[in-house]
Amino acid sequence: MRELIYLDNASTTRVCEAAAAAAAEAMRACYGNPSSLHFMGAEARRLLEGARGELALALGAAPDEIFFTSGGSESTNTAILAGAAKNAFRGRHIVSTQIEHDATLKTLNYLKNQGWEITLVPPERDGSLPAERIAEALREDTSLLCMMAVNNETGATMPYEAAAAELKRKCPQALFYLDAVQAFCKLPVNLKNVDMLGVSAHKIGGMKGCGALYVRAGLKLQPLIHGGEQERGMRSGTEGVPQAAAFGAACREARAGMDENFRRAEKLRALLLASLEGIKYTVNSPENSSPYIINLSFPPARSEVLIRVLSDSGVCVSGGSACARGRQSHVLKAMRLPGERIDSALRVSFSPENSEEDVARFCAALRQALTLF
Amino acid sequence: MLKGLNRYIFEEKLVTTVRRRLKPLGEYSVSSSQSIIYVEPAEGAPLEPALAAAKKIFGIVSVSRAAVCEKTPEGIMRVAGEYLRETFSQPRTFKVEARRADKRFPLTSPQIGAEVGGYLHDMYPHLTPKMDDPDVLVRVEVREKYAFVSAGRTPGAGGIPTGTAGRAMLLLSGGIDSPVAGYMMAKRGLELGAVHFFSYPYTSMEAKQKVLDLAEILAGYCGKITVSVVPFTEIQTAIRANCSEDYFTIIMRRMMMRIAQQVAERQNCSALITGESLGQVASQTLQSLCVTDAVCEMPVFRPLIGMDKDEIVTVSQKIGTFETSILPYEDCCTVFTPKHPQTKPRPENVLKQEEALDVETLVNKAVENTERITLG
Repeated sequence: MRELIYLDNASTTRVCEAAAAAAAEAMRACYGNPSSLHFMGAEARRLLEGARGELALALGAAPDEIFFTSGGSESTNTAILAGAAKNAFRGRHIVSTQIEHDATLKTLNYLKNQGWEITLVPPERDGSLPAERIAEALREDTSLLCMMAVNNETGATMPYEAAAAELKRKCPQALFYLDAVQAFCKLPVNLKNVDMLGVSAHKIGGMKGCGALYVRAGLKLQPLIHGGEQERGMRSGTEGVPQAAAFGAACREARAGMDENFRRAEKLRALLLASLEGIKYTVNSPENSSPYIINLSFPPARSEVLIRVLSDSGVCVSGGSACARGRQSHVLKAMRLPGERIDSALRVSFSPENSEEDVARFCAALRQALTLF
Repeated sequence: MLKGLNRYIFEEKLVTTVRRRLKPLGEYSVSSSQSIIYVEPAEGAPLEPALAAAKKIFGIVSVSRAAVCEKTPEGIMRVAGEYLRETFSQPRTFKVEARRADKRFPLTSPQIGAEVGGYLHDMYPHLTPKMDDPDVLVRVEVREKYAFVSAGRTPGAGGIPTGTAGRAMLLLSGGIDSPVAGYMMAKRGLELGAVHFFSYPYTSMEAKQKVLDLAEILAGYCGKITVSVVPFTEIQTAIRANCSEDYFTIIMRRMMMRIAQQVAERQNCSALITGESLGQVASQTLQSLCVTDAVCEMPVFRPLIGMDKDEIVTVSQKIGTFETSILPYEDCCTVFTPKHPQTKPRPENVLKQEEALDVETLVNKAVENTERITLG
């Protein structure tokens, strides 16, 4: 049995023990429907609201600003579609960036086909994206700005605070959506000027199929899913109590360990780069990136071959994002990297569970794999 | 069209093939007489899958669906009238042709033809009887237990029954061309084996599965196929380490041919089949094909040699391999693809390059470690 070295935590993480226990309790003991009037319903409701409280604490928001969803993609879809609909009368121009997640880009493309005008700001060649570039794209009729806090492929941190401030100065009525999927519980998130924010549970030790949308108090949005008026009408459908409870537990743990985990990730990243000495590589992550994600290229190797060989020795990493199997990364393409760098890119992403030993074993396996080229 | 005394050999082979292909679908009785094969489903055996399977069997010119009638003149006429309602909804010329296997039937064959023809004409007055080349030929067959009426045929797969022309080894990649080449040669009666060159980890398990899926689709036409999966990584890395880049592809092709030939001999195949089309890529120029063929002692069939890509695509869509072929799993890693391959390799240069390789050992080792997977 090969030993597992899991360094693909930006794709998804192992469910942490506390989260698994919370989910198990919700599935086995507190399995009531939170809308039921009997005591089982009340217990489930208590779990659900407890989890909501945890998320609110982590974000510095009020519990009734948090709505559970099925994941990051749903949060993004809801925010963009509802935000756009809300502000359509002010203008039909949306600003975003070329390096957003597909959940954002595809939703924007859908709106484009409905007649909206979309401006996608390109990143610099190093993968960073200065706030001024975004400011330049804002217009009087801009009604929505959406961007991520941390890029999922390179780990680049985005200047969303400055961009949001500029948006509110130039277009006070426009809405700002922050995709915080890769930042939540890893880096501090500032809600100032943020109208909507999306997070996902399984990136921080929660379960797949669960996420949340923060909507600033006072902002009324049309739901995407209609039905039994759960989540105060924002998201109908019986609440996934086990998923939400797991999300709450994971969130509590990650929030408590945030600073320590951050320093640990920084250490692992530094160790990784130090261990690559003698290997020909380039770093595709810009300065000031999240330490949790590092994107590297090993020309003339091919990502898919490297991933396969590493996988055979128990090491899990990904090429671009895990969602984009077999396609060239749109993020690295937007950075205008040469083809051989795009085709040989690996993304290594850490979780608090990773050790220095993992990094050392990864580097050894990588050295071995690179002899194929 | 086959004539003469060997015709019955083909027909017997065909009947065996039909029996074998229908066997997994249910219970059918299969018999033949005068170059027609009759398939009668037993109670509960489905007809539609049997029809679909029959349409894929080489050697069958056309397939038609017959209606069963009670074995009386009245029974035949009643069923014929119903069965042909749709066919005869528009004015057409027609002719009834009858045969009886059961000579005790009260009417002779010409009498059946005349009676049924008359009945149909009364029922559908807009029809015109026509003895020579009618729009619709209605066949009535009086058999031992029942009678059948049939009309309107759909084209069968054509060609010659599989296996009547011998066995050949298809070089099967995951691309569009090679499955089409295999299909075309199987249509001319060849039984197929297939050989696939697998370069793990440079190519993925998905790429291998894709080849097996293609073989499975081909097996629907030409019966069981054994795919020999040859480990090819060592050879590719040896070529890359020892030969000059512009010769990678041509030397790789020669290695493939050498191996394919040995695998073919082991499996009683007497020819190779490739999906090459003249001038399509660097390894398919006339000069390249000459250099490749120089290592082959068996004939190499290249049925696509004069076809354009779009013609090949049309066939692959018709036979159902296209969708699988275009799945994005590469059959050859671009690591081994030279940027500027030789289009006019000179034999003496190729030989010189190959001196750096231990060709015999590499080939033998690859053949020895071949994995065989049977599909269909």
